[in-house]
Amino acid sequence: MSEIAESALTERTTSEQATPSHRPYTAKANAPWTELAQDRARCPVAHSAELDAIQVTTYEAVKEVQRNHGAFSSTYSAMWPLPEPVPEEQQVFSLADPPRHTRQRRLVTKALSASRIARMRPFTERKVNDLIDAVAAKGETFDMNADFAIPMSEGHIAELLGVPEENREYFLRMSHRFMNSTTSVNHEGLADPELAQWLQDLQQVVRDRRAAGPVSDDLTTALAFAEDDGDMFDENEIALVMLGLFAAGNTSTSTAVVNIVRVLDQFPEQKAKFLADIDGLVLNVVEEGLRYDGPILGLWRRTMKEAPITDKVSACPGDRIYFSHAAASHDPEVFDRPDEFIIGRDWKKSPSSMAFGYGIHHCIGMNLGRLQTEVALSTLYKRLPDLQVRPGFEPQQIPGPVIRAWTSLEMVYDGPALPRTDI
Amino acid sequence: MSSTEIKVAGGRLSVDHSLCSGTGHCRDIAPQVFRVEGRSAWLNEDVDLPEADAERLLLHAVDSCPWFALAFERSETT
Repeated sequence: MSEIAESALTERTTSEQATPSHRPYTAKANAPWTELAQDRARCPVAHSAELDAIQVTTYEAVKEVQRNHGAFSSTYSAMWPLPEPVPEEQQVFSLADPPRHTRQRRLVTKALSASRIARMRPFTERKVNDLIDAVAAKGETFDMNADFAIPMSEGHIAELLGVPEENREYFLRMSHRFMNSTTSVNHEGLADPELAQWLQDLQQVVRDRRAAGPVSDDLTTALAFAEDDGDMFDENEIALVMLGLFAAGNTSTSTAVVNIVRVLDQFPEQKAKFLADIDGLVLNVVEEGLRYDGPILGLWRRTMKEAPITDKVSACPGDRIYFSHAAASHDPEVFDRPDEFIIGRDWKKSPSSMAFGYGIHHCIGMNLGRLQTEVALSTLYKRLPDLQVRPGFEPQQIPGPVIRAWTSLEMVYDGPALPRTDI
Repeated sequence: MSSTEIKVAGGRLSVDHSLCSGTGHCRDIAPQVFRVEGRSAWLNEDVDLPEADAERLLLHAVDSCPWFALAFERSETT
């Protein structure tokens, strides 16, 4: 913290009212909106003892931390509060700053752009309908997470990257290991032996694709043969790009779907509106659902040089920053009645929510995630009559400051399932 | 009026709709130039920007696009 800011911060953190109440490692709330609202109102940029970091909770300040990537580095990783930067050869995507990050991101923007992902819609509709057929065959209860959302997102990322059948279960398990590594204070990151082995195995995949030649049209092959100013990327860098796509793609979309399904049950009047006009309202439900309860609670940065976070508070070199996407998306300065789920919000007149982040690290899977979430929500509620969370079921949050996800969500409906929507 | 390519600030500004995902970073930076409609950014025609700031503002918008969908090329000057 800078001099002026330091005295301001010390004053805040020593006064009783100004200790952040958000404690995602030790006392994670199922509904954190009240405590995040308290922190935003009383200490929007303040040191959190539990996080050992400056916690940032207003929309504008969360945006500023992501905008100023020159001062707030991702090289200490966005997922874990690492004490040192990751080795340079591992600085990829969410663990990288420009210029490395820029050339890596250019590799994949075309393949994941809105126009390209729109071509996947028939695959998405078939996959979602197949999964609904499968849950319907099991009876009138199922787990939204394990039986529907996870196989949906896993199927998409496997299709996009062309993962052979024999690797799919292993890659899914490693993706979950990666996400679960955020649940407790983690100083290991990619040095975890199982993740390190996965990275080795992904490097072998790249070598195999290169040996086979550019014969497939999946993203793995495109990455293996991509050039940057006439140079191929090294296999380690490609493997880390793939690891990032798997880790995010296998888990965050499923989380978004599960979160929104639960939110709909918490706001029955809004759910009734949606059910009366599913096609007309599904995009609004996705947008508002991602704002109200997106998959990312918050991420990490490390301060490299003194820089303002707000006009009152600056960070100093070495300061660890934890910025909360969930808190930003519930900021009353930006969103009217932020702690209510309102599907009629006019998004044309509103800034975007922070669900996909802001700036150079803006979620690269956004289009893929949106497509799946839209098709999943419209098809589930069209085909499964009276679909709802089992009354009395109490979902559990996974711990930690990064992910907002339920471990499972038991569903019931009044069968039988209605006909497929894709034929 | 809006389009995907305009002449402005002594150059040519364009948005590539095969890459644009409508995140609105450009609109936040230069709302007088960019609009977001139907999940894509569009360029306002007849933009009147003060020459001194215009190029810096547009290059800032170009650099801020997370999908690399914007380009600004200065016209050849004699």
